[in-house]
Amino acid sequence: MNVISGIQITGSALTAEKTRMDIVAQNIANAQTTKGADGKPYHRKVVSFETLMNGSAPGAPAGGVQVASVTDDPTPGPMVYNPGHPDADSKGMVAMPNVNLAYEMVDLISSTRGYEANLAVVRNAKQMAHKALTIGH
Amino acid sequence: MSVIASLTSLFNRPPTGEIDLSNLQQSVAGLSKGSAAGGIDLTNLQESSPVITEALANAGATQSAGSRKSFSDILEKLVGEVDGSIKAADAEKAKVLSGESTNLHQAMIAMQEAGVAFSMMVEVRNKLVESYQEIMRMQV
Repeated sequence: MNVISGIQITGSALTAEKTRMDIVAQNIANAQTTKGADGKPYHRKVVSFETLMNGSAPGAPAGGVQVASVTDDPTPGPMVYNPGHPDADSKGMVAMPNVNLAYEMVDLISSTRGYEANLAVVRNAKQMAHKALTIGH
Repeated sequence: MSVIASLTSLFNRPPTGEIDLSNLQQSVAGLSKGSAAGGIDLTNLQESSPVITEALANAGATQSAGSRKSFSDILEKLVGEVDGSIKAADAEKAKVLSGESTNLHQAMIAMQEAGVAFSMMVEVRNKLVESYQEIMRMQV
């Protein structure tokens, strides 16, 4: 039974925005990580979304959104002179992650606002359903 | 009048997630049978009133030529679906609370959906009781 129309689509958007915020959290948390699993400094992750098509996933709402991919931002990070650092090379330079906190804060605000916009859709869809139930009162 | 009694008690109970609607389903099933003491046979009513039949058809009842769906079947289906959505919301809530899922919004959406579905069922029940009382007041 689908009493609140379109709410599954909004639900998928909320999931997607939450994933975006998770990735921002990961980027900010690793802003100083000079050694990842591959021994290289952390690369900033970028999320891209895609529209859900009919039958793209079982039970997925058509017209909704999902995370298409989480890819590394390939731009090189800054080199910082820090000879005391354990990951410093022979010249005392340390390759830092390419995380720019200003970008991450903008992404953070953008995902929060996106989430809020979708919550507003949920709220209004619910209000519409409730109002429809008062027909005849 | 067990149907009305159970429907009324259901209405008076707060719409928490722990409502067991199976009782109601049983009483709804008994609705069309019509008990001797003041029962009302809605199957006959449906046959006698073209408006209700049309309304039932519009309500999404798949009526094939041979098998006619009775009003109680549709009502039972409605109650079953509302029960299902409440149970789904419960499952989502349990998933979030046990840490299996972090999708808080899915649980909240499922709970809101269950709440709206429940309100709709209550509205249907109100209309049903209203029309029953209307019929009982009828002069013969």
